[in-house]
Amino acid sequence: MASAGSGDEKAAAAAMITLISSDNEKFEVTEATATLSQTIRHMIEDGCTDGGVPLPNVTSKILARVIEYCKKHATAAAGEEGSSSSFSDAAFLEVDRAFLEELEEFDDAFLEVDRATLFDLILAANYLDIKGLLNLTCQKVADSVKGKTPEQIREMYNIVNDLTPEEEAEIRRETQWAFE
Amino acid sequence: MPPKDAAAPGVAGGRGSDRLSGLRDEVLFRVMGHLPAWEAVRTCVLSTRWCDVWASASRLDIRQPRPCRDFARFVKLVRNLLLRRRQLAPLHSLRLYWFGRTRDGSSASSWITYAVRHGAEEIELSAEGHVVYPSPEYTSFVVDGDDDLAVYRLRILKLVHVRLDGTTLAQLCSRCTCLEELELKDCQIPDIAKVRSTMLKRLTMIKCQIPSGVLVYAPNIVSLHCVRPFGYVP
Repeated sequence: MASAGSGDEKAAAAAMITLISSDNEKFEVTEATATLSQTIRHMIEDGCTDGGVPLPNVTSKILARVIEYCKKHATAAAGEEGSSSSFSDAAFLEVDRAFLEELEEFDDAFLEVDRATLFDLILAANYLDIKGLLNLTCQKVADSVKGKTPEQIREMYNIVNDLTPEEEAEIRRETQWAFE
Repeated sequence: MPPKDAAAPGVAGGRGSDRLSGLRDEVLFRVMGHLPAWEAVRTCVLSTRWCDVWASASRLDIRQPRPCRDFARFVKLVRNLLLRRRQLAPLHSLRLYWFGRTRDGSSASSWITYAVRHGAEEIELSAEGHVVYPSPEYTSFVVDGDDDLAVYRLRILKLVHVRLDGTTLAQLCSRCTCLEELELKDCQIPDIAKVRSTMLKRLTMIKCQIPSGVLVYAPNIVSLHCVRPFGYVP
């Protein structure tokens, strides 16, 4: 079993985890990448990752994207740890800033997906408990409804309004203060 | 073991299906938390599924109440919002845009108390819309010792455009025992203030007016940023 300490990069790189998608495709990732998922982190801690981690809820298409995200952000996390232990002089700050910008650009590009994929990513992020990815994808959904009327949101997401006109009127009366 | 109940992607994958409403509660609460508070409330008329979703959002963003210049109305809105939230729903973060003309901070203070008592980890209080620099009461950030029910978690505090006298700042730092990050932006700190905190890891001061200086005693500090101060450099 690899040690939990991720300080030594070589040791972290050597520890590989195999993830198996619902359609039986295998993905080899480093432990540092895999442990961005709390679900997988717990499995590693419990020592039940030998022979691969089956992820019956995640297709290979989505898992590939999730791993792409984790790889990028695992490097970012490692970089952050490195910088916090040293004195942050001006040069370091510049590097930090450039890296954060790059990360932001990556996230923006990462979210350029159709709505079905976005929902699949949300489900995967929630199931794998990857906080950063869950936040990112939920933010994207929130942004898509921002400034829209309830009617527009219903149409966008095929939400069937099962409230009777009386019920809807009642709710609108109760929440009048938010609609003004 | 991973949770088994996460819906398999693509199961209800038809083009016309409503995948948004199909998300689990905790995911929808999260989506709500990324919306400005008023917009989150307005989702209640979408369908029966949505009636109460907003009321459990664990992040409240009350920064932009639309061009609402009437402070009394704004107070009423926020009060309504907090009253109608689900009472036991935890609140992780509160971002509050506080505006008005006077230094009186009683309403803002009571909202902060609400957040702290609901276990808030992150509070951002911006008084940029204020004509003067208002002074928040540090007591609202602190849970009284006799209140055992409240779990005190405040880790990140960001204050913008407020006036902090020496006592306020010192008390904030020493009595918010979990505080790890403190960011002060465009703040007035008229007296000598002592920042003493064993937990504090990051202290950032941006464009603050510090005529008499700040003494910092924080043995676990990792980062100390001071950008464009006016007056004394600590």
